[in-house]
Amino acid sequence: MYSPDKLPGDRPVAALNAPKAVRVQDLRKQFSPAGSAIFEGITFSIPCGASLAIIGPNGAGKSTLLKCCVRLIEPDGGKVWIHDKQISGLSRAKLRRLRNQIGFVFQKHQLIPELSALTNVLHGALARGTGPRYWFQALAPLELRQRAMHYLSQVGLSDLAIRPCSQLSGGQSQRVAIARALMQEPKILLADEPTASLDPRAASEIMTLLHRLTQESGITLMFVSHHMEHAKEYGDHIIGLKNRSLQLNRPAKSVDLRELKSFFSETPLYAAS
Amino acid sequence: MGIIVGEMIPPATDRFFPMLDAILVTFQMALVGTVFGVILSLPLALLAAQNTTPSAFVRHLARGLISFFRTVPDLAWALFFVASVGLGPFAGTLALLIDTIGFCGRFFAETIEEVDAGPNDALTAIGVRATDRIAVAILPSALPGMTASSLFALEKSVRSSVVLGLVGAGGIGAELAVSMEMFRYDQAATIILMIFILVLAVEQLSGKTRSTLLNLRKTNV
Ligand SMILES: Nc1ncnc2c1ncn2[C@@H]1O[C@H](COP(=O)(O)OP(=O)(O)O)[C@@H](O)[C@H]1O
Ligand SMILES: [Mg+2]
Repeated sequence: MYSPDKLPGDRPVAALNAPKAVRVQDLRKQFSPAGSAIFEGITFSIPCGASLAIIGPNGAGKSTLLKCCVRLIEPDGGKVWIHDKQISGLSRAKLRRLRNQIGFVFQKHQLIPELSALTNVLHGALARGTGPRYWFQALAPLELRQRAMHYLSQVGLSDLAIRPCSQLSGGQSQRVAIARALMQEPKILLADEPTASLDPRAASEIMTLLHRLTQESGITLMFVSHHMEHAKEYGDHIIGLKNRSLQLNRPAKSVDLRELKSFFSETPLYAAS
Repeated sequence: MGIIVGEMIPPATDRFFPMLDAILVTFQMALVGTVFGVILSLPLALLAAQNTTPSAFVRHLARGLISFFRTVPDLAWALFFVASVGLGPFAGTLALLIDTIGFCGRFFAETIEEVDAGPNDALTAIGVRATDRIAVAILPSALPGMTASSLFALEKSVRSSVVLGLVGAGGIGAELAVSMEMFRYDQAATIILMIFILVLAVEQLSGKTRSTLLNLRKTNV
């Protein structure tokens, strides 16, 4: 099988022929036709069930990279495979079905403030079904409500199920967002700085939770973090985006923390604006 | 003018009950026209709002229709409907319905466009269908604003429904026109008082409802 890990000194994460959840090859994105690329020549892959940490300075294109993986942003070159299926040619309906399999947690929780925590969790199931029974908890059949309650209790929020999300703290909201992503029962979970708006303690709690729950369910996790400790602790593999290209692509075990921290400081930050 | 005001006092009570009937018809016209107008405004506003429209072409079409309904004055709509469905409250109700769509269609669309895009985008990212996203990520957030607009529309309809009677589209306006033509300014005074009370009552009620809603929202934030 294709092994994209090309950088010198690299070893493949898992066995060479382990099936890959995500494979990215020679990816390029440029926002304006005249300007230079945000990044180019990005090549990496994640085995099914593993976790991948993406690090890099602000503006390096980490969010753009995640979005390119589900074509929320269209890449301008290169290829992406999700579970060995190339995503560039997919029709709109097929793309929607692909996205149904992939959870997304954002820096800001993006819950619907007027609706209860339980209803927001229920919305994860909209990736698998459609119609009023998935809209509000009051309309949902018992089985769906119980599943949503199950995920809420997994993130430790069963007591706040009927509280409107506008009344939850940042950490609680992010827990609800994680429960919503789990309710979706995705095969892959993308998390874009899920802890960036939280205080350090809540941030660690959320990362631990996210890592534990995805591991338990065999979900492949791909997360962006500014925390080198988090990247090393929760990532099986770390990739680093800087100066328009992938400058780090290594198993987490083989990188030490000092090396990671210097990754940010040794060259001037690239920030297009 | 002094003479007219003099003749208005005291207001006449001889046609009190027919007048009461007429003003109730006026209120019914306003209520029915507004309710159906609000119901029809919602789909039109969804087609007209940037974040919910299926395509730019549909959006322009919907916006064009709403602008057309709004810019043609309600009196002109009343004349048009009197000519097409005949004299009476049905014509007035239709005119108020169209007028409400012109008003609510615009404000509903604006409220929908102001809804935070984040939650909707988050559901797009996991491939949720547009209808489901509108139901859960757009409408719940737009509901308080749309309710307020609907109440304003009701106030507006009650005021204009009085005038519509003058062109034969039903309600108290016709009574007022007849009293004036027959120089029964004392009767006219009674009618004007009734209108005043109706408009005031509706404004008070809708104002109360709006502030209650606003408080409900505040406790939720
Ligand atoms: N929709 C867009 N249009 C134009 N430029 C964009 C867009 N989205 C992001 N960018 C630019 O691309 C660069 C990378 O952004 P982003 O992926 O958000 O970086 P990161 O997540 O690593 O901080 C930034 O310089 C940003 O200004
Ligand atoms: Mg980012």
